[in-house]
Order: sequence, then structure tokens, then C-alpha cells
Amino acid sequence: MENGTTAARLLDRRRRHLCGGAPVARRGRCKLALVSGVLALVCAAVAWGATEAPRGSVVLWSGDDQWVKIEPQDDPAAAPNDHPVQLGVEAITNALGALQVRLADPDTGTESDRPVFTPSELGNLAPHVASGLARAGPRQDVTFSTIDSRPLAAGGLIRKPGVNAGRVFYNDGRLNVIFGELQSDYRKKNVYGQRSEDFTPRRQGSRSETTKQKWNLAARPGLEFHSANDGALRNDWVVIDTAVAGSEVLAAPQPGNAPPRQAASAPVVAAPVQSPPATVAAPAPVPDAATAPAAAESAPRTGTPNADLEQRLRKLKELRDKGLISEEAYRAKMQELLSEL
Amino acid sequence: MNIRNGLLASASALGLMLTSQGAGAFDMMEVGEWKVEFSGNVNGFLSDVSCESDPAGPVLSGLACGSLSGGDYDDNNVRTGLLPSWLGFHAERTEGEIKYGVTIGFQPGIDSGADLTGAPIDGGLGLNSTNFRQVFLEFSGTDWGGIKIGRDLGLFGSDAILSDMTLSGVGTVSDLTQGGGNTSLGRIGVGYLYADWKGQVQYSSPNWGGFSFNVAVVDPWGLVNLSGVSLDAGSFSQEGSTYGLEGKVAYAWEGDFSGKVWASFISQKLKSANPALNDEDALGFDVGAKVGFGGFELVGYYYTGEGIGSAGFLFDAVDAAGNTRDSDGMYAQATYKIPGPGTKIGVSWGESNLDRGSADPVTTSLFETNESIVFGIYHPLTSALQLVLEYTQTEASAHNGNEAEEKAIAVGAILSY
Repeated sequence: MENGTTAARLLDRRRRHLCGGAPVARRGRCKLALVSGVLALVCAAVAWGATEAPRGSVVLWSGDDQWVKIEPQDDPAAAPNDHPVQLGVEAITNALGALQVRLADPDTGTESDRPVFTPSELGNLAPHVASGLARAGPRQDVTFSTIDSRPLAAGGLIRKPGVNAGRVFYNDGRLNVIFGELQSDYRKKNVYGQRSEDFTPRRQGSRSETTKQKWNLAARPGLEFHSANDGALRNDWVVIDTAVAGSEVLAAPQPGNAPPRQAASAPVVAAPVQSPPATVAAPAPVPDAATAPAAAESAPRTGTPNADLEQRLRKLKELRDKGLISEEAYRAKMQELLSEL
Repeated sequence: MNIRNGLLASASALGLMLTSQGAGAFDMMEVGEWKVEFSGNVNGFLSDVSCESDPAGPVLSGLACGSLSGGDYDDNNVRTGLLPSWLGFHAERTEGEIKYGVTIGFQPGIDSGADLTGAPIDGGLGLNSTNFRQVFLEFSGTDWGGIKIGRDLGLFGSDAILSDMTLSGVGTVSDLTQGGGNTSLGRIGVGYLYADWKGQVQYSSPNWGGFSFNVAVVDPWGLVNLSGVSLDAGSFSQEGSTYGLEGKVAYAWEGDFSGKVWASFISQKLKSANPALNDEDALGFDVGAKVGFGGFELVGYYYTGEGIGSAGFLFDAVDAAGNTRDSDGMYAQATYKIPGPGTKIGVSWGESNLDRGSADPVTTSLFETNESIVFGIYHPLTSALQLVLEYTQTEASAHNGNEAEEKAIAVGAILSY
């Protein structure tokens, strides 16, 4: 440190300090400039925020760190979706409920499959995905993030929450799901003891880039993995035939007993609630070859509706009694079926 | 050495320096109906500090070199950084529409000492320090927000310290004769007022599309005479009959240009039982912004207040006659995260100023400005283990011209779990 006179030190301070060592008047102007800079940053930040906030994002459901939204497609160059489309909640429940992850036990070398979504997740997800697909435009996807706990070991008391997140859209008569998070660890930020509600951003899945996952999706009837441009199959992107996927859950135990549930999965193009970007024409009120699946899939339900319903209720009860589905899933499904009356 | 010229001269050496951010992440477990979390960190640094203090006298409450005066002084420590080592426990469950939980956290320090910066110099048979900063319950609903009751971080200045890149580093050391103590100062007192850990009843609003607000009734605090030329709670005959009040509004957004803007206030009546002294009001405001884009993050922050003191709330807030002193401060920070290795490089500048009270003489050696600049690099060796290298240059200047300068190099690691 320089050992000089008071005057020398004061001169030195003027040189050394940005504001604090300047004469009072200049210090005031200097601070004013700094404060103005901060405020300008604030204004610019707000402007950026307003400019960059996701446009066209509609929250369909949120709660306890989970959500279902309508958001723009992730890739502007992607083909437009066949939206809006009306799929039954049951069809979506079956389709998503058919998804399983393959768990490998490195100790035993064995593999086992586990549903991607728990009944609770499906209960939250399916109605809102159905609603979202019916409201979305061709340039919009339905995105989701759900959390539920699964036992660390079979029958174990300790459970660990896992996160599923991704995007859903309907194209070429198939339901597409791209996973960004597949039973990922539930991680929260902890900054200086503050358990922030802002998590590590959840990956929503991408058309252009494969998302690496801890687990692999298991192949199931009615499910195909999307083929990338280079021919490689993407394990994070599953294309679901809603007429087939999940049907074995109800139909397989007694083949031929239950009628096909094509009607529930038959897509019907509806008028969009929210105007899509002008790049794609509004969908026609009647499905055509581009927006509807095969004629068999889109055929209206035949036979006596009440008899059909009764049969499905019986089947549902039978599955519950056999322990093939949980009480919670049974009640949810029963309510859903009864609502068709 | 001129603080900025010194930095320029050291630029090449600083090019490889590290800093980190104070965020850990942790998993939740579920046992029965309760979700349980353990989280925290352990950090440690080699801290090499050199000090040049004014032979003419000390800078009272100056944060460079602590209370030293009269020449050079060097100090080395193996110490805890600004972020204390931490063991936090949280348990929560949901019943119906109500989510509720408890949080208890304690913070042990590496070095000997009873508290943050007042620890005695190292000696044999000394034990490491510890303190409990968090003990609170909370309950919330998605529609109406949440209530927190207990001891937790205050609202005023909270976003300033949470945005401070030195949170996982060391920053300003200051307590050179104290043997390290528990934590360093980071940018506390050289850019913002410490939000501190306060008994409070806090309401948090729901998040409305990024907008939220908080308001808290806070346990009344007493005046602190850090400099020796102020009144403390005893000499002010301060009555603890009025709660403090703090509030914050914030707007945050996500996207390619993510960010947050916030403003907050702090207020407490200073009532004296001494009829010769007037009651005073401590009142402060702040505003800040943080934006991130393409690996860059910028932070700007400013606060101003009357009777709130500097460094800590009500530290040197009134002069020897009980008149409030004005204070303000600011900091600016820029960081860049290198794609690939994820190494973050940052630079931060800030200062805090304390004006004289009406009874303070012009020649008072009470500090006028505490100023620092920090360079650092923060390198994630693994997802949980991060290396930190930081250089901090702090200057304190008094109203009478006394000065002190402190240079600190810190090298260490922080492991979050």
C-alpha cells in the first residue's frame, strides 16, 4: 500500500474507485449511471422474457410439479401433425399404459419389464392428453411431465420417485410419443438451503435428436420405434397403433371374448380451439386419408352400445377380481366407462 | 496496487481460475406416506490471503483485512467458503389438497470457532464450529400459496446472494485474525446486505405464469455496533416490540433467454426506551435482474436504505447519537459456461457504501466503501464434485481516507449430495 499524504491518498482513491472514491457530485452521477445500467438490464430482461416466452403454450393441467401443455412443435421443419384429433381417453390410457421399460439386473443378468406410467400417472395424463390432442393445431404438440414413486425393490417399503416427460402428437393414424425423461431421477435444486421449485429443466423430447435414457423401452404389440433418417431405430420415440396397443391388457387373457375397441380409438378430426400458425390449412371437418387412419380404425362403433358397455364393465370387474389391475385403475376405468352412458 | 490495474496485470494468471455456483441437487425418497430428502454439501478451500493496511489507522467495519492496520499481514487457512458445509433434512407429505413438510439444516464449519466470523484464532483442543440455520415448517396448496413458520433465509437480499457466483467459492475473507471461522463473506457487505437466517412467518403466493410474491413478518432484530462508533441494541435501549417486515416480488421466465427480475424491501421500527433518543425507521429497497442466454449469464443488482446498516442488517445502522446512516450498494456479474466440459468462468464487481450519520465527524475512520472484484472458474469434475479456483481483491476505504486492501486466492472443492 502506498504510504503518502492524505491528499495523495485521496487522489489515489479517485483513481482507484469506480464510484466510492470520487467527489460527492461525481459519485452521485456515477452511481446514477450504474443504477440506470441495472434498471436497463431489468427492462431488457423483461423485454427478452416477453419476446422469448414460449408462444402458443397452453397449460392444460398442472399440479405438484407435473403438467400437461399444448406447445409448438420442437422442429419447425417437421411435418405438420394431424391435429386436432379426437381420441378417446380409453384409447390413450391403453396406448400409454402399454408402454414398458426393460429393466436389466446386472447381478443376475435377468431382464424384466415395468410399466412406464403408474395408474396414477395415467389417470392424470390420459384425459388431458386427449383434451390437448383435440385442441392442438397441426403445428402443436402435447407435452407432459409426470412424477410418481416406484418401489426400489419388489415389495419394498422404500419408494423412489421417477419423472416421465415428453411430447405426444398424432400423425399418419398413429400416436407418437417422444420421451425426454423416462423414469429419470427426481432431482430438485437446492441453492443455499432453498428448495427451489425450479427443477433442472426437464427434457421434452426432440424430433431431431435422440435423447439418451437410463432405461430402454420394451417392444410391445402395436408399438414401433421411429426410424430415423439414417435408418436407426430411436428407442426414445415410439409410434403407437392405438387400435392394437394395450388391447392385450384387456383382451389377451380371454382371446376373442371382448370386442375390438376400435371405436374408442377412432380418430375424428375436430375444429381447432386455438388457431394454428398459418403455415398449415385448417383441417377439414371430415377425416380424409391424410388425417385419419385406416377405414377399419375409423369405423364407428357397431352393435348395441349398452350391451357393449356392459360387456366391458364385466370384463373390467373380472380383471380386477383376478388382480390383473389395481383397485384404483378399476375405479378410474369404471368411471370412464360409465361416463359414456 | 490499483485494484483494476492489478486485475489486468493478473489477467493471464486468472485465465485459468475457477468458480462455482452454490447449487446442489438431490433425489427424493418415499417412505410410507412421507417423502424424505437429505441434501447438502461439504466444501473446503486453501485460502491464501495477503493484506496491506493503512499505517494511519484502521478502516472501521472495513471488510478488507478485518480490523488490522499498520502494514502487511499474510494469512493462510484451510477453511470453509461462503457456502457452509451443510446437512439438510426435509420431509413432506400430502393430505388432500394440503402439502406440508419440515426442514431442519445444520451447518458445520471446518475451522475452530463459535460462530461465523467471531471465532477465536486457531489453537489446540479447539473444536469445529456448527450452527443451525434452518428450522421451519411449511404448508401449502396449489391455489392459495404457502405458509412458512420458523427460521429460514430472509427475503430482502436473498436473490442477491443466491445469484452470487462466490456462493460456492470464498470471495472476501476479511476475518484474518479469526482463524477461518465458519464461513467467508463472499460478496456480503461488498455488493449486498446479507439476507441472513431469520425467525419468520412467511406467505408465498402461487406462481402465476412466472410472477410470484412473498411477504414475511420477521423476528425483530437488534442494532449491532461492529465498528465501535455506533450504537448497539443495548446503548440504544432498543425495544424489541415491533416485528420486522420483508417482502419480495419476482417474475421469472424460461426459454432461450431465461431470466428473473425481482424487487424487495425490508423494514423495521427501531424504538428506543431512552427518552433522549428518537425512534428511527430502518427501511431498504433493492432491485435486481438475472438473464441467461447461450451459456452466458448476467446479473445486475442495486440496493439502498436508511438505517439498515451494511453487511448485516442493522450493522452500524445508527451513529453514536442514534441517528440513522444511509447506505447503498450494487454488484454486476458475468459468467460463461463453456459447452462440453461445463466449466464456468466468471467475473464479478461490487461495492457497498455507508454514509456518515449526522453525528459522525468528518474525520471518522468508519468505512465509506467496501469494494471487491472477483475472478473465478468453476469446473465440474463429476456431476457432484466441483473444483473451484478464485481470486478476490477487496478494498476498504474510510471517510477519513484510511484504506486497506486484501488479496485472496482460494483453491478448493465442493461436493454436493
